[in-house]
Amino acid sequence: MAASNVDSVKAFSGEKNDSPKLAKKALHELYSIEESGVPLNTPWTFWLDKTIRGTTAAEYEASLRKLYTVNTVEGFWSVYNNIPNPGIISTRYSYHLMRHQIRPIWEDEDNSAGGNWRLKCHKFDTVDVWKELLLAAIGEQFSNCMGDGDEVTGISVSLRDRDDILQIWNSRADLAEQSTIINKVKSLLPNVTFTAVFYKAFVQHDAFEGKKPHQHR
Amino acid sequence: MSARDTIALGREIPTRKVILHDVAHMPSDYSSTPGGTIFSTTPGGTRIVYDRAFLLQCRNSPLTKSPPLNMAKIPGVTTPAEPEKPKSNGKKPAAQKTGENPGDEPQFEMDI
Repeated sequence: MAASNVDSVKAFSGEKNDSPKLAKKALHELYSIEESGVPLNTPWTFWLDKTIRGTTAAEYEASLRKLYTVNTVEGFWSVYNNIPNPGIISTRYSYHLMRHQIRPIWEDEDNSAGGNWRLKCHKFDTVDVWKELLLAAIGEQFSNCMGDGDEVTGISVSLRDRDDILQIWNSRADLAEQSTIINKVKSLLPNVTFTAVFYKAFVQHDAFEGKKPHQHR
Repeated sequence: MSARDTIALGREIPTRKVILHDVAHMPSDYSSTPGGTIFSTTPGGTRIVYDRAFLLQCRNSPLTKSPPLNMAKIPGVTTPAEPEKPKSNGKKPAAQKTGENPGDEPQFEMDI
């Protein structure tokens, strides 16, 4: 009886130790996917947030959740294939795929000199547009469309009551005019009607809470 | 002879030097160059680029069938079914049992 008690204790503690075991297994799997997978030009991070109108930057930051950072094409698909597509998730949610581990926050150092193109599209096009923009971003298909020194730093999709909003983030708002990215997007999605397309530097948003550089008034 | 001359006078292949400060910056496979690209013809030659068809082809890799084990679990989004299922599973059988049990028990007694 004593022996079986010991066994059960062992089994119990074994169960308790499952999480470190899982972590190791996860690390191993991660390692193998990173080893055998096709490397991306840079890592990309999936983020999720739920937007509530009129929230401060701090409140927004608190709602922001990092899903995963991928380094390989397979890693990208393993996340993409296993999260609900934007056609399913509820309105007010946004997905972001950001270069490296950049957070989708205007005021962050990586973004504050940048801005984004906003494209509104009909709900029935959202899933396609999101997918095509992601593929073009991780495949670095936009790099030839950007001004010298500028690059795409993220893609976002925001689910709204009427038309959904797709955003393409870039690092340099001052070089946005040199970019031909909107033409590229339209060539990737010839059958999609965008109901609105415009660019805005983050510092020019009323809600921007960071330090506004002097050259931008 | 003149044909050879034109070949010899062909354009120089543009090159750029990349200085590595750490072994970790070496690419993991031999087909790519440090700081370079897998496709030697990429304009600019500084980025790893993939076209849409290649990326879509990778979508069916066995590695992509399940999410990364340590991906963030967000109930209602990345784990839509999990947090709800245990609750509904727990309640439904209980409700069914109360309905079925009165009918089942006499049958067992009959068998014995």
